[in-house]
Amino acid sequence: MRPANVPLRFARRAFSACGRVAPQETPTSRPSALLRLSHLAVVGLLIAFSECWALGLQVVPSVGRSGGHFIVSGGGIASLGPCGFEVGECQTDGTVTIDGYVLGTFSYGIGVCESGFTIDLANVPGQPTGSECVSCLLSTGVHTVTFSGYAFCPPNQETDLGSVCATFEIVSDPGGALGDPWSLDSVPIANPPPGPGQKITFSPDVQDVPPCDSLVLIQSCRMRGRQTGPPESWIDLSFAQIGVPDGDDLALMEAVLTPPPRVSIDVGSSEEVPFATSIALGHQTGRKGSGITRSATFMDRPFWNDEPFIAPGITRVQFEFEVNAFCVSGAGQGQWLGKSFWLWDRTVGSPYAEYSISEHLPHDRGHPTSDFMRAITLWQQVRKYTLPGLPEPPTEGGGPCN
Amino acid sequence: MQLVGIRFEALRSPILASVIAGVACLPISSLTAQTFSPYTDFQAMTPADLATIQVKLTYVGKQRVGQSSLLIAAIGNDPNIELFDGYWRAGMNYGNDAVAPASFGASVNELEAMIDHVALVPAVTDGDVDPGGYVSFALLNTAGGTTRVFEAIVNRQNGALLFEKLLIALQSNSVGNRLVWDFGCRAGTLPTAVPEDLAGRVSITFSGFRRDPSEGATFVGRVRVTNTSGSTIVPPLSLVIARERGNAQMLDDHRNTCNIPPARSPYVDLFIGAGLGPGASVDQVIRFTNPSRDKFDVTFRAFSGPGTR
Repeated sequence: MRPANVPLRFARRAFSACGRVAPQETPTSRPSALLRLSHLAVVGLLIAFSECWALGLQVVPSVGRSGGHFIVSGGGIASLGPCGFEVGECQTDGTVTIDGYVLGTFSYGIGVCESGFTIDLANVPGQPTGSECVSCLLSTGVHTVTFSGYAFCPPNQETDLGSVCATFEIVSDPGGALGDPWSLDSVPIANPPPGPGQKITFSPDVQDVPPCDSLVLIQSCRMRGRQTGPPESWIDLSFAQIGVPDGDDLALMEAVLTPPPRVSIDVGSSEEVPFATSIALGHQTGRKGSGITRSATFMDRPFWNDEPFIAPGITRVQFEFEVNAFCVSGAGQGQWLGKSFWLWDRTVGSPYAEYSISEHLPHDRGHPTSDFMRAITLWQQVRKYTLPGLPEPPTEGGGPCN
Repeated sequence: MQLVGIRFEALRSPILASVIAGVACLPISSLTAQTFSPYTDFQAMTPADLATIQVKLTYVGKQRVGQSSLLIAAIGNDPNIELFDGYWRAGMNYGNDAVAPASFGASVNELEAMIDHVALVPAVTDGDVDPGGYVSFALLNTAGGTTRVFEAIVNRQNGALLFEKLLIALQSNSVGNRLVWDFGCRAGTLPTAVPEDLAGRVSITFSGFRRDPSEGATFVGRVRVTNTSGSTIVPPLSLVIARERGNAQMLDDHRNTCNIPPARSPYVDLFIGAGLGPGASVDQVIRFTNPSRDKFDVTFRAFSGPGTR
């Protein structure tokens, strides 16, 4: 099970200082399970000599609202030898608690042979039904996360790898004191056809948005049509029913349109990523951290005339947009930071592609809707793209537990 | 031939624009006709005149999400998209011109070459709106104190002819050529001829893939393309790096495919001189940045000869 050619320098570097350690380096983008085990094996041997372990822990963001998405991640659990259930193999274990006894029901066990974990306190697996949102149950104030690691090796060697703690704060938010990162502004445009554009902005300069090196906006669209009756009704439309934007590939656009309710990520068929890029009108990638705070923004103005066709019997077309803020890289990598909605509406046959844009639709800090998630999942499958996931569990961060 | 557009009196005045937004749209009666200049006016311009010319590409068709326009100006001449305000044709979508465009500089020689090459495409120089046209190609010059504007709105077919000429004229302007290519790709107006797929004629190996120890999120490897056929492969030889999974991005100077699947995959042209003979190989080091550290997989394909990648 233990590969012979794992470079020892990786482990030495990672454990060169007792206490905080540097992230483990790997020769591939993310270590495979096999490679991870082999690292642990080597690490275990070194531990036996040095008696040094380094657990890491972080909570991102460190301040937020009750019910917020606090991402807790910890790492650095080291096996004392080849890890597994075979004879002679070792196991690891870890436990995460919040405020100890205060939340007695919360105890998150780390799987054997895992070196770390990542959980979202707004949706913790394994909790009693109705209590999955742990952050919903916490009162305002400072809370302490404790991460403890253990290692077991035959015949009876049990080693306490110690504990590391980190705090985060839940603050009350009367009147939105934490701030609202979203703004959707109707921008008048004189260029024909004259009418408003929608400027969508997510400003990360509020307390509970985590640091993020690259913050992007991802927009989905559900196309609906008012069908003549009787009775009149709204139906979901496909691109085959109302055409695709000029220049786009119909087959590719249809391929990323979900089954009803029909939603797709709102980028052209030639785009390589699912988010607004520099080609989008007024685009700017957001950032928070290292002394720089910059909004993520773009402007949209659909233009949808009746050419070359709109399916017979459709008298009105609506585009229902959902925009989600997403952190592509940085400490908040992989986190959904909130969503907003807007609506474009046009009566078929109206002169000069006349349209209207809704205002004052809701926005929040929650995760994307299930419709959006279906669309982004399908887009990733079809276009062979993977949105960045949560970072590897850290092997540094946190501090001593009092 | 009647070259008539519509000039809107209301331009970028915030107050007036707000009024416009409030009433949703201007009544047609408030518009005045604006005459465009013929293409020959621009062919007759001297190099000195061309120092103030601007070339604009605007997507004016059906769209769910806006796309920036592209503005080309002589090096040293500040691009100014507002000069085009008012030179609008009825029924077209010029909303994408309301936001700052992408832009690049070109030499006077390149601009002259652009005009000369496009002059070979009557379907463009006629200055009309093609049936189903959705890409505006516009020229503007204020030389001599008179504003002259030419515009043709091309469809996919004539757009391919236009972009072929633009890319030829800008072949030595790497930034400009890339921006025009990207615009044409998104608009679906690049030439549609495809290069030869070398599947079965070459072997492609990828070796030495590792993280670059000097740069945290950079990964590097070497690709070797070997001609396993009995005949010489003609240039250009393009290596396409197709994403199978992940979100890593290629770091080296590259372009993205548009005409061969998968679309928007990075590709590089390999140096093979006059050709890659039977049994011969060419190597290419490629680098990726992968800050997320998510797993990523790529595959390789090779194409050769003329045609749009």
